[in-house]
Amino acid sequence: MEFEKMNQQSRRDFLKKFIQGSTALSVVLMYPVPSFSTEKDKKKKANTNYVYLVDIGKCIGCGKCVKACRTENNVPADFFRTWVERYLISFQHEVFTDSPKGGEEGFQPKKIKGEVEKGFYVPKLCNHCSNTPCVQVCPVSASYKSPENFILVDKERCIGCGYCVQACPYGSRYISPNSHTADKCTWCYHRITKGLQNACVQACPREARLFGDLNNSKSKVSKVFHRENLMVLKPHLMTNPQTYYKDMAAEVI
Amino acid sequence: MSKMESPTSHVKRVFILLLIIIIAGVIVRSMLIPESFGKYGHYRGNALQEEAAREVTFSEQEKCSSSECHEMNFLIKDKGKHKPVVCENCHGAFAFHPEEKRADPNKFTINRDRSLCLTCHRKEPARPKDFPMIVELEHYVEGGEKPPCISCHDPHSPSMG
Repeated sequence: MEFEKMNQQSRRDFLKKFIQGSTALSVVLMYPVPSFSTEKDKKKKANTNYVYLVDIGKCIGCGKCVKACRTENNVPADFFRTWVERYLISFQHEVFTDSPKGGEEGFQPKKIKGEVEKGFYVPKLCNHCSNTPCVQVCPVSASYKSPENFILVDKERCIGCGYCVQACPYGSRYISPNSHTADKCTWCYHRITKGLQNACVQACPREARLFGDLNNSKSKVSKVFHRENLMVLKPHLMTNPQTYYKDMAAEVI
Repeated sequence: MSKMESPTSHVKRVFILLLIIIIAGVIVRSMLIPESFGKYGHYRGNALQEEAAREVTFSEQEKCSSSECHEMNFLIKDKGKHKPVVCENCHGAFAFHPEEKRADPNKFTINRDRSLCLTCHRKEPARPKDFPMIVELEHYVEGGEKPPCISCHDPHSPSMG
């Protein structure tokens, strides 16, 4: 009897102490853990602010950019890191869009219902969002943001789960049938770091595509960026895209 | 029971087990996390260098002019309306070209087809109005033959007529 009583008391004590202990531990665990990068590494953060500008009014839909991208980056057939969409808007304000073969071979004339009142081409590519959902969802940290704000994929770590492909609201990612990993536009990181232009920017005969550093006041990009009226795709998603569009109609999605 | 166990032995056992789990955890963690992970951020740092080390296929067109092979054509193009059109747009990537030609001079073909010109110059309602465009049916004499564009226009320096 005496023993049982003692045992009961100790169980209560145990539970009390257990709850107290776990509360204390959870408070300790809530304390923010220092991130992986040290102070010294943080200084490596690049002093650049790269943006990509697309001038819709200049694009002629020749598809040379798509071709150049495919050659430069060895993009598998039927997949695109960049592509060109055609918008045709009729008098009744019906919107027709197409992108045959991503616009790679140019565009054939297309009959639509009614007269074409307005028409334009919209080149698309990865927006390299500052607040990107694709990096957030990656379970193995294969998608990452470089110090220069390039959104890249580490093919060695990628397990090809496809979360990022679904997370991207712009359809910029695909699972490569060759490597079975996520693949996307790199803004030609390998060319920019060598001091070259992006393949698509170089291929564009109309200067509809521009890329450069906003922090460099002499760059063409910084002049256009500050003088023209620019828009981003799907601003309501708050992804903060770094690819800006000039002369963009409200119909563009 | 011949021998009484010490009243704290079960606590010891738990602590030893915990210690083993922690050590095993640390070992497994160090094996799973790549060496350069966290160098710049929450990713494998060496991936950046690997991406930057990729080879360039498209070259700057100055290479075509400085190669002395095509200096003449480059100078013509540089003064003409096709100045912003880089060589590789019509002739293919620089990286493949010299080797291809060396291996088999006949293999490297120049596209002289009308369709190449028409990818840019076909009349299309979506194209900017100030861009020179043609409607194929209107551009030629009715019922006549359709000669290649380059029989009238120099592709390196096109002009009207």
